[in-house]
Amino acid sequence: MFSNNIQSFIILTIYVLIIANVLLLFAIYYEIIKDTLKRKHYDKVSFLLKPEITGYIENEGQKADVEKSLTSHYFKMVAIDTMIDYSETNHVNLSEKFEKLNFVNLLIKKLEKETDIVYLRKLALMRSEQAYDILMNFSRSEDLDISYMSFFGLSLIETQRDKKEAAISQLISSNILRDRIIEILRQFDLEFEELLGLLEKEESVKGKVIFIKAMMNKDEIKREDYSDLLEKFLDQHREVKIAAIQALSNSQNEKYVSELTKIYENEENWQVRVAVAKGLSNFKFDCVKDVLLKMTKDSEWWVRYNAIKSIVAMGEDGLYSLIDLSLDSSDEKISDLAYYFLNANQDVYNTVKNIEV
Amino acid sequence: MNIIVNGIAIYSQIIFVYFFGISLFYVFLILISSGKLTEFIKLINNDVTIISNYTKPISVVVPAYNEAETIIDNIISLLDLNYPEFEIIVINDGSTDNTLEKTIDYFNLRKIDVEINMQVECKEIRGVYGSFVIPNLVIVDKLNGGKADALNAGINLSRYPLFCGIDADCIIEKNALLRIVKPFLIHEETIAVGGIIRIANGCTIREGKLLEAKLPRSAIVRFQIIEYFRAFLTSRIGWERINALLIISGAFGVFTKAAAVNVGGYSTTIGEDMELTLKMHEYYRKNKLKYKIDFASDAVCWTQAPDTLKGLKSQRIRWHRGLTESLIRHKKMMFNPKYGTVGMLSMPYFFLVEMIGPVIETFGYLLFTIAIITGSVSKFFIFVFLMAYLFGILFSLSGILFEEFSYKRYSGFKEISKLILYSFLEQFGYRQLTVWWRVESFFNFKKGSKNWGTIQRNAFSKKEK
Repeated sequence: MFSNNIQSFIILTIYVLIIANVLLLFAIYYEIIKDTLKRKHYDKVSFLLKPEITGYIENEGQKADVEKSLTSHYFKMVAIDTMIDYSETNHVNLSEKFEKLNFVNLLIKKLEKETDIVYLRKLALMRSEQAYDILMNFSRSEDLDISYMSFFGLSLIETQRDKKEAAISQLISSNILRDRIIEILRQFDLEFEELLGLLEKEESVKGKVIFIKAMMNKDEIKREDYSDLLEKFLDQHREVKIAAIQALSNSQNEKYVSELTKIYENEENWQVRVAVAKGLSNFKFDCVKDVLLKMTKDSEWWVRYNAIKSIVAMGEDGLYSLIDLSLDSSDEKISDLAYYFLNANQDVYNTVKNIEV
Repeated sequence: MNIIVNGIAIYSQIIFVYFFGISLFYVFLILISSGKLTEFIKLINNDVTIISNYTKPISVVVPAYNEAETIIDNIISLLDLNYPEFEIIVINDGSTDNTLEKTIDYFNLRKIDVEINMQVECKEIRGVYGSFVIPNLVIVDKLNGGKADALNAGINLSRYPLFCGIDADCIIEKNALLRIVKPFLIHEETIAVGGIIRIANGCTIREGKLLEAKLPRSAIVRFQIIEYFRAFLTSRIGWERINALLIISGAFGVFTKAAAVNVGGYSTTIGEDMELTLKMHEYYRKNKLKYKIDFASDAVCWTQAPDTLKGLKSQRIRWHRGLTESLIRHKKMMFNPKYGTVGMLSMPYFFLVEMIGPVIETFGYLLFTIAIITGSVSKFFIFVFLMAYLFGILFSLSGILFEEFSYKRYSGFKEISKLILYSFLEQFGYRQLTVWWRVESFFNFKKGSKNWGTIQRNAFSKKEK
């Protein structure tokens, strides 16, 4: 038999469990009631403040009226939400208006006391230069959400060039995924020349790739004096070389075709050859036809695949070459791959279907 | 008579130690889950992933066997996902209904030729169907080989480095892929992430979108809702925190293709989802490779739960057989310090609680009945049962509270009160019934087929009525 002590222990556990269950019940109902009241209160405050906030945004003279209404911390938070909503919906920068109502400082003080993603997000969306220092501090955080949100905020701030460059330098060395860095970099809205300047100064492979990729989607890449400056990166590390191939291809300047062809012919690395195969789709078919057809016989499947994909992208001329390739190639694999692409093309499919009819 | 009394006394001591031990451990899991849930509540409305267009492309693999009722809704919901780059590969695993024909007709598909990169074994693929209008949708028709085989075919056809396994009777929330991929962006060593599964019965779903979450009328489904709260909101979050999560649900989970290929893809077993997760744990720990198996508590997938006892029985027997089979296959990890928290905590827990727990519990009920008949019920025995009952209520209420803290899908006094009531009722009848099915399955785990265990599905749109 169990000793009385153990029996008492079980009885005690039962009492504890009863109390814990009752507390849980209270907690569940408390949460429901709290949520309902909170939502109603928020809606009410938001409804009251909205006309005044909108009035202040449209006419700064109404600042005193708004300040009078912001009687508590809660009212200020609702006002911040309302202004952020307005700013996002109408694509306007309200940073000065946030600053004048002292909202930026309010959030900075909050964040100095405690790291909080909710406050950080609000601060980031205010686009205020006053937030620069604290966002720079938070951008060093090991927490990806905090760091990403800070960089996102930094990218929205209109500030001096040196400050922007410092933020970008920190962004490049962060642990954020490369493609996401490029995306944030676009938010910084840098001119092509500014990116070129940063690229020249950059020493890391990762940084160089990021800057080249950020530049290659800008319209200025088509200016020969700019694209020429990228040619020297073709001799660098494999990843930089691939980025430079993509950028020069995006320039659509036919003078680079011979250079790219040379790279293809002498390159051992298949990833670089794939980059050339993909990049050649940006040029006119006549200039790249021979090299693309040569690529369809490459030892690497992915190069062959992308070469045929580029040929398809050339339109009617490309399709005719592909039909020839499909019918004439002695290599069954090449012939099959060409057929696969033809079969996946809607125009070819419809044409063949009509012929059958 | 004395033998019976003594036997009952000894067993009540065993059952006390057992229940008290596992319940304390479960309380520990709840406590560590609550920490993570608090972080999650703050993050859910401030999620940076939602801001960004850059993620990793995903191949969504949907194995389907006789899913004609729900397949169209499912595909529509998948096509509507908020995700920059993904492809949908539906695998028709030799359905005997018109799943394939219905899908081809609805999406106006045509047969295409594709080169298949066979990385894991699967049965013969009869044809691949694609669309000009929806280039990221592919339907694969293959010989029947079971769910694992269908998933393997999907892996072979997938183009992207991540693949997501989704059941054909599920509806994925619009941002669910963005949320489930986040751990892959944070930790490079992440190899698998599971999403949270919720029950769609009673909810209003139109054209693949969940419009309103409501409690269903069926008591069986209500009990299951509470079970799902317990499983996903308390225990799985807890296991993930100590990198010892043993199940990435087959209904909604994302894996790196490389990791799945490393372990040979899915195995043809009844619990292919648990088996794959266990294989990954074993492979990565054995080879001392860094890895992380995560759980995204904010990535939501809605599924149809069985609403008949027959359907529920079949599902529970299948689950338990899968669990038993996988634990036995990987028994060498059990209590083996080489396998870290998996070998020392989760494997023993699943063995003691999930696998043989029902047997211990059933034996307890049996002795209790004998004690009542023979008039030898001791106070101690009653106290132990009362304690186990109260622990059961505590776990269910914790699940409901966590739901209220986080998703608040069943908001409102009335709905939550109903759930609370059902968490009390669950302990009388429903629990014993499911425990009995698991006992049956435990002793017969080698019997039965390894094929699809489908339950009767209803079209999602009918749910509106």
